Parts: sequence; structure tokens; C-alpha cells
Amino acid sequence: MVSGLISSEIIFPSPFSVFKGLLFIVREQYFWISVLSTVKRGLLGIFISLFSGCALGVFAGLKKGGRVFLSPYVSLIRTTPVVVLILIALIWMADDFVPVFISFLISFPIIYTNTVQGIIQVDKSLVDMAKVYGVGKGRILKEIYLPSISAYLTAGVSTAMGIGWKAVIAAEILSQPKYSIGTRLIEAKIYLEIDRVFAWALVAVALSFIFDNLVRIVEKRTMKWKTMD
Amino acid sequence: MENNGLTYKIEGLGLRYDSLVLYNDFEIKIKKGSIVSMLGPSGCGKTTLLNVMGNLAKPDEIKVNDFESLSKSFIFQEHRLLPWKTVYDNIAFVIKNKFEEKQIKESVYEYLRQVELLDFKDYYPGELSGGMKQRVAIARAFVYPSDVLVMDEPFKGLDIRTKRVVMETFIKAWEKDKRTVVFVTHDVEEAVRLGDEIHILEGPPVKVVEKVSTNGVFRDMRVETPEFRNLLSRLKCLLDGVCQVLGGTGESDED
Repeated sequence: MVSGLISSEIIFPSPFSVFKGLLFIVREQYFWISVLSTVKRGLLGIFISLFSGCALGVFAGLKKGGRVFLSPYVSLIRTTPVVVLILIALIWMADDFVPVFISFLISFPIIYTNTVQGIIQVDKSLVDMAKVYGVGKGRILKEIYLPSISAYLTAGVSTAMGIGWKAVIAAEILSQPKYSIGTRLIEAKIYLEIDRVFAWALVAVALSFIFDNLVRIVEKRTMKWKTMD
Repeated sequence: MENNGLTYKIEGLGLRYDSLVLYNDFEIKIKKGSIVSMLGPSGCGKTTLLNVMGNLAKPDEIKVNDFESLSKSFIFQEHRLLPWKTVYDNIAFVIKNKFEEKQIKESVYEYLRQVELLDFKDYYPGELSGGMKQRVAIARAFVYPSDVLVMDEPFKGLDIRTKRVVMETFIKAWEKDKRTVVFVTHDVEEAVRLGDEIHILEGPPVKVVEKVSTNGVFRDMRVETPEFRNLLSRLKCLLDGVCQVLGGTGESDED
């Protein structure tokens, strides 16, 4: 509709042009490697934040002192504008690693906060039950704390992925690693191939959609018991 | 663990909550292999005694605590089942590091049969009724190789019919190994039905105002003899603090 009103393919291409652009980029030599490289960077950042956010979140959830100590650092990461973080990362590290670092910085506070919340909300009567039956600390962590926080964790990962993809692509636009959706987007923009800009944007949206649904499928499978309450 | 006349003792128990003296030089003896009901009004400090026995509460002073070194299993007021584990896994959870896989399976199956829930072994707690969940908790307590089983109002919140079924399930499981049970309740009928001995508590500070021995003669739920009804009304009366001990069916013994 907007395209019809504007009637300028340069400013707002028609759906048909975008579709044609999509067919074109899919056949391009660097399409799959660009997409997979972006996915790899995004997932790597999320996995690093999942492990670190989870480990520090469990620690901070169990120890109030740890929570107080980490709170200002997490707030600092959360409140600093993404673009500032990208610029700092560009100075510090290789172009290829900047999007991974950004994906990590964006996801970490979300996963950390959700983990802390999950640990605080754990039903302490279940922990007491395990203690009186002589169950060790390691098993209490693995079999009570971790399942208890799984709902918080999947919610965190889902949110982190939603925001993370956008940040990764923004970081790729600025750092321009050889293979990436961000680099392809900026190239299409430089050559005024607006239909391809929209086509690459569609690919980014599709990626976000696919991974969000994957998280939901994993959530459904691992938390079958939740639907039975 | 047959009843051989030996006892587990707590002596010289003292415990305070701020200015409230909950226990002062309190002592109690529990006959091994028997079910001892601790009957007292809500808030008198019964659960605290269980917590001391279960090492969940630290007394201010205590001279003798035989329970400290004993292994204990628990049945709580709430079932405390892990919602993400199946019935089988919930029971196996407490003995996972104690036995081989094969023995765990045999023990869990045995007690699932005992509480008549073998067909529900793959169900999650969320799929079970309140009574069924408490029967799983009973199986979990018995499968654990404990010296003493501690129960804190395990039938509270169940409707009369369900309570009867759960109590019958408990008695059936108990009769198999006659484990020492300390059972706290404010329900006179539960105390009389299950107990070999009933200690009537008053407090704070908590003291045993009377001890009644029934030797478990009222465990058959279908029977309601005049002796049973007399004892019930006598204990209810005593618990309400509105009458003196009138004598009755259960032999009252002073220690």
C-alpha cells in the first residue's frame, strides 16, 4: 500500500520487487555463507551469555552479597546504548568478533536477571525436602534449582534472541565482516538496491521468527510437566 | 526394626523464639518400632519438635538427642513432590545415590505397588489428585532406608474419604517394616487411629500433659467401637482444656 502511494521503487519497493530481490539474493554466491555466519555469531553470543548469565545468575540468586556486587555492572551493560557498545568493541577487537561480543552483551543482562529471579522464586520447601533426605548440593542444584528456573531461562533466551538478532546485524553493519547479513545489507544500500535491502531485512525477520519458534518447541518438550499442572 | 522395648530419647531440650520460651527442659521417649502420635493444638510447638528431630531447627540447649545421628524420612503436610519428575522419579530421587539402579527399580516398584500407584508411575504430580500425591509422598518416605519416619500433619487438607484411603495406605506400608514413626497432628481421630502411643502436648512451653497407650488397636478404619468413641471424646475434651482426665479405654501411663 505504502509502495503504491509513494510509487518510487528507490524509496519503497513494491512487494513484487522485494520478492524478485529475494530470489536474486538467494541465488547469490554468498547468500548461505552470509546467513550462516550471522547465525553462528548470534548463537555463539547467546550461548556464551547463557553459560555466563546462568552461572553468575545462580551464584547471585543464592548469595545476596553476589547480587549486590554484580548489580552495578549488569545495570551498566543494560543501560549503555548498543551503538556505544559496538563502537567500543570496534576499537577493542577483530571485526569478525564484534557481533558475537554485542550479541553476548545484549543477551547477558536478560539471561542473568531471569536466572536470578528464577533462583529467588525456587520453592524452598522442595530444597528442604531434598536436604532432609540427604541429597547432596550438586544434585539439589541440578535436579531442583535448574528445572525450577527453566521457565525463566527459556523466557530469557527467547527475549535475548529477539533483541540479539537486531543487535548482531547492527554490529555487522558497522564492523562489516566478510560474510554477514549486515555487510550484504550495507552493500545493497550503497548501490541503492533497495529491493535487496528489503529482501535481506526479510531474511533477518525470518531468522528471528525461526529461532523464536525453535525456543518455543524446546520449551514445550522440556517442560511437558508444566502443561499438566 | 521390631519393637524390642528400646527407646529414642530427647532430654533437656530448651528452645526460645525471642522472648517466647517454646521448650524448657523438655524430654520425650519414643519406643522403637512404634507409631507415636503427638497430639496438640495448632501453634503449641509440635512442628518445632519435629524440626529438632530432623536437624532442621537448632535448639538453644539439649542434653540428649538420639535423633541427631539417626537417618530420617519425612512426610510433610504438603506432598513436596518435584513437579518436573514423574511419580517413579520422585520416589527414586531420595535413594538415587544409595543403591544400584536395579535395586532402586525394585524398591520403587515395591512401594508403588504398596500404595497402589504402580499404574501411575509415569504420571507427573500435576496429573494426580491430592490424595494420590500424598500416597506418592508415603512411598517416598518408606523407600528411604530410615531409622525413623517423621510426619507433620500429613493428612491435613484432605477430605474425609481421601484421608481415610491415605491413612489406610500408610498403615499397610507401615505394617510391612514397622518402622519407628513420630507423627504430629492436631486431629484427635488421626492420632488415635494410627498411634501405638498418644502424647498430648500443651504449651508453650511445651509439656506432655498425658500419655495414652492403645497399642494400635484402633487401626482398622472400619471399626468404631464404643471404646474408640470414648477415647476420642476424652482426648478431644482434654485437648480443648475443658475437662479433667476422666479415664477411658486407652491406658493412661505416667512416665
